[in-house]
Amino acid sequence: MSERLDEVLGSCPLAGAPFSEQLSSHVCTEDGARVHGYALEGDLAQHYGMAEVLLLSLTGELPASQRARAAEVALIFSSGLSVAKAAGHAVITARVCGCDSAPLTGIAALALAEEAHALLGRCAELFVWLEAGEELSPPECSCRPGGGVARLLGDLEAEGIDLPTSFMALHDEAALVAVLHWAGLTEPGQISAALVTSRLPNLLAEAESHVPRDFLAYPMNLPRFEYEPRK
Amino acid sequence: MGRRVFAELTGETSMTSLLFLGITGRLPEEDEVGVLDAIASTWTVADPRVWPLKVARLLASHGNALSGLGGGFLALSCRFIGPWRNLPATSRLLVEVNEATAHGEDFNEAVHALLAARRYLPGFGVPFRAEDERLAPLRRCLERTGRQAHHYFSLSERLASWVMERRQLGPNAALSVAAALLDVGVGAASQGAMGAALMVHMFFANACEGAEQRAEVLKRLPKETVRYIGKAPRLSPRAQST
Repeated sequence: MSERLDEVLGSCPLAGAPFSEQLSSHVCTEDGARVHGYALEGDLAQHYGMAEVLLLSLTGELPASQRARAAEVALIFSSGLSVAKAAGHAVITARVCGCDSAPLTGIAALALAEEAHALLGRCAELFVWLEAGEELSPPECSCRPGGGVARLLGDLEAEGIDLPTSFMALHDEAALVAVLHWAGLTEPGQISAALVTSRLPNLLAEAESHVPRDFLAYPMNLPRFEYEPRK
Repeated sequence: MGRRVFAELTGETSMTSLLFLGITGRLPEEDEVGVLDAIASTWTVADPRVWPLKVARLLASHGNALSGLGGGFLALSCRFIGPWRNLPATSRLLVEVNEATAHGEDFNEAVHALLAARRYLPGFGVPFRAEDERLAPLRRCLERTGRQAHHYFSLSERLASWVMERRQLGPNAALSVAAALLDVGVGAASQGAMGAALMVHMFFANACEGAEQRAEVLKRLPKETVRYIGKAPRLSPRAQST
């Protein structure tokens, strides 16, 4: 089989390119025993919590305690979800028609990633401000009239975690992104991964709590679609 | 699949034929292409309320049609809707009926012996309506080339009469489609993929339009449409002790 493939590839434009013979791994060792150099079993599992290991995975370094705690609080705050949103609605729909856990997980992760991507799109100006060092006022579109996310920032302040005072002016979404950025997740992809990870369990649990084939319990006409013939 | 793209396929091969080649490893004959196209068109239903198509719309609602397509196709792997599991199960049933009745046995007795203990018969049962409206149009398409008289399709109609008489259960599109696919040489193991391939246009329609519309109501339904029936509000042990 491989000889025939070489015959065919011999005429292919890719045939002469000097491809690597190996797949590179940057985060985990091939046996999965270490993450960014740290042993999972003898080290991380004994001395660190899930949020710290999550930040290690995404940034490459173990976070300072305050940064880890800030990320943990922010991710717990954001882990709740409404079934009214596309991700919840999609997994319930898939579950009702009998999807098993593997495709449900795929649908859930994809839907959450799309929501995170949309959130980060709305926070594009905020990112510019965060990268600039927060000395200027935050962008107006990220602010909430009358003040910011008192509960999130209040909880963190109560634990002695001092965030920039400018965060107080931010609205919920912006404050979430700002806290995660402050905690060390400075790339949109890192924030997306953290948000998907924090929300996935609740989303899958919601899916599993619905009964497959219980079609009558599902609101078939929600939302109501109207057909408009194309002109 | 052993075919030279530019020398043999380009300009000579339809999309349907390429899909068939990709899944089965051979190019279909011209009238077999007719069967596949007939299946694809008779079961076309771009109704966005059909559950896997709705998943496509929901995942496309933020503007990415490919996410809609991917999510919708993942939803096709479900047990109760669509071809992924139903077509292989139905075609296996037809093959079993064929084997049970191929050696001169009395059809009724042989089928009874085979099916008596089975409560669920794939390819049968029509939800929410009296009969499956896709059966007659598909049969008419097959009649144009005489394929309604081919072995498995004839057998499927004979089996449908038997089931209707004894269980008052009508055939659904999976029975006719599975039979037609068996008659073009698509075995049970490939029928899920073939069925999904012949539905791809419906998923593209919903994913592309969903991405274009970016409907706010799909991104988030109104609050009043949700009814919470989970656990009542409560305080955690640690919160109680502080």
